[in-house]
Amino acid sequence: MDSGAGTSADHIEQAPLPVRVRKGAKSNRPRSPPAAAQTRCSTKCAPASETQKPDEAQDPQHRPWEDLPVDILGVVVGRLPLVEDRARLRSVCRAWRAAARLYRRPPPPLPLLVLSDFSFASFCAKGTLSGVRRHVPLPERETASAGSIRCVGSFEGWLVGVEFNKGRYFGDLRCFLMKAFSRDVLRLPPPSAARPFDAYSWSLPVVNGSGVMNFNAGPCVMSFCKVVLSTSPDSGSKCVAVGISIIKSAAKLAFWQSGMKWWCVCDGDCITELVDIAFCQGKLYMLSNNEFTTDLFAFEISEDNNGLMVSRVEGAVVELPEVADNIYQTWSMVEWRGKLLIVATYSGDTEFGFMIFQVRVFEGDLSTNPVGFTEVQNLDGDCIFISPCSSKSFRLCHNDGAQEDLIYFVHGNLCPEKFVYNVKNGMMKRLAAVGSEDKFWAADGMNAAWLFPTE
Amino acid sequence: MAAPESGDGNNGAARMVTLISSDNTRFEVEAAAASLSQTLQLTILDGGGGGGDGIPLPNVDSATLSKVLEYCIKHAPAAANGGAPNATAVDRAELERFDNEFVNIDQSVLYSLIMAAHNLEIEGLQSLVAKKVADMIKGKSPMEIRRTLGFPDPTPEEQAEMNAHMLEYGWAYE
Repeated sequence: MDSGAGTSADHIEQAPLPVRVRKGAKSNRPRSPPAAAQTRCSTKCAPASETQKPDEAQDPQHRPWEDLPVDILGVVVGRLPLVEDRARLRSVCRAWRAAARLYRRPPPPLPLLVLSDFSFASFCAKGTLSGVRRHVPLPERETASAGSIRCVGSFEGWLVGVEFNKGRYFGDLRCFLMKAFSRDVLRLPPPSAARPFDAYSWSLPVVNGSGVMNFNAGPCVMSFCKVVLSTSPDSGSKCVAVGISIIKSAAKLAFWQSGMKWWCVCDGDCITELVDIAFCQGKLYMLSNNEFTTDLFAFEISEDNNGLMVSRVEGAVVELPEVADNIYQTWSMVEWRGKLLIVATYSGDTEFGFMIFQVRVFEGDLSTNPVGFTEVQNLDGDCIFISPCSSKSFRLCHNDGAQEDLIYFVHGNLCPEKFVYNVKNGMMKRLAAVGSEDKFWAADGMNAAWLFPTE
Repeated sequence: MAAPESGDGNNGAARMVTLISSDNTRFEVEAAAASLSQTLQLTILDGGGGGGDGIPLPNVDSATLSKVLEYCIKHAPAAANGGAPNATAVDRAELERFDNEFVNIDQSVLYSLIMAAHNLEIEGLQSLVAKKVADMIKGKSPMEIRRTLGFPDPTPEEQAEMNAHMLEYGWAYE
């Protein structure tokens, strides 16, 4: 009879009760391997088997949520826009940790804003930023000479760090790529180094423009203020890094590709005041001001026996429309769906004081000289994140922390400013941060990079 | 008038189907509402569920099924309009209000609902419950999540694993 008082738990286990895997699991028994969750969830609808008996729900040892099919858990994770919430969810139990490797990739989480000292802010509810309290942990080897490491760029989940040499004028000592929140570090050649005499060099005329670009792997003293990557270092394809170095107002561009022992340094009379660099469709684009014009240069990158090789440089004059009352403007470049966008901000005296009063977005047509520009009126639902050290366009789906067609700016060129611009309706609003704002600008300069962590 | 034989229920009254829960309760519901379930839609298109037959759903108990059908009945008109581009703002606000209240329920009921939505392939319901669960998780520590979702206290072994994971992802904690 099954109603015997004092029946031991083991007896119950043998009773003809529903046979879900976890049914008989006792707390003192090792949990069955997480793989069980995987096989079960692949059944989409199994009407005939696996009936959930009502008494199962009353079993105190039954853990329904832990058994949540992997693909449902994936849907829940997709509804968590913050990378922190996703990490905390994985801490909950072993089955959920295991599931994280199995479910279909959920929409990417919202980016984090990493400041030059590797402290970071993240989005909170309603699109505001959290205060800056936490740091991206730095690998031990890179922090040996603590205090002088700063962040100068990012690509997806990777950050670019440099160690600078007390005074910036002496150049950076080291440069490394680091996958944030993991221990993956990739060391790049030192930005400042004496180099071998057999270093090669070459020159290229600027197609459609005037002047010559000189490339050499000779000795250099560089201090990077921004480094961009062509692709993720763990993507499997060759990763090219390009840095802007500015020392005593002398600007240089430096190229590196996996395997190279030295930076390939580019200078030329056309590089006078570097505005921004960005990769688009495999080419590197550089915006540069000189006395009279602003030029856009496209660098075609190929490979030869010595490693990376810039095989062609094309130049074109940039003439963007004038905006009334504009006193100061900034230009940022970003790749959006294979197109090169220039995002311009215009600042001037307004009734609220000196501030950015207009933002315009242009798509560059590089087949003409001057470069043809079409104003972009909507981003087709995408968002763009712009910061001094990295910019990226990004699809936000199912993330209720942010809306569509927005440009998130963190600008520090003139006065520190964080704001959100809606491309569709032209509205601009401050990107508020919780708590003290001081920390955002206390660190060295205004450098900040958006980080797009992958899980 | 020679009405076509097909489409039994074309004369004003909507076609009804019968669903049978795991505990043998019969639910009669409009085919349009039941068809929000991709799984049921196929059966219904094949002419199943009508008359005295009924479609057995051995995975869903009656309490859950009645909740699921409450959702389907409310959402069926909007779904029939193909995502309802011409729905008024009032209609949409009313659906949103309904949805918010609908998932304002105990976690164990949410669990049964999301499992049923998954098995019956009702995408809107699955997504609604997933969002509710995500909202319950947001900003919480792993222990708080466990409490919210009715996990039992972790065994020492589980606790050690949790601690190790939390240490590794220390940046995610304030």
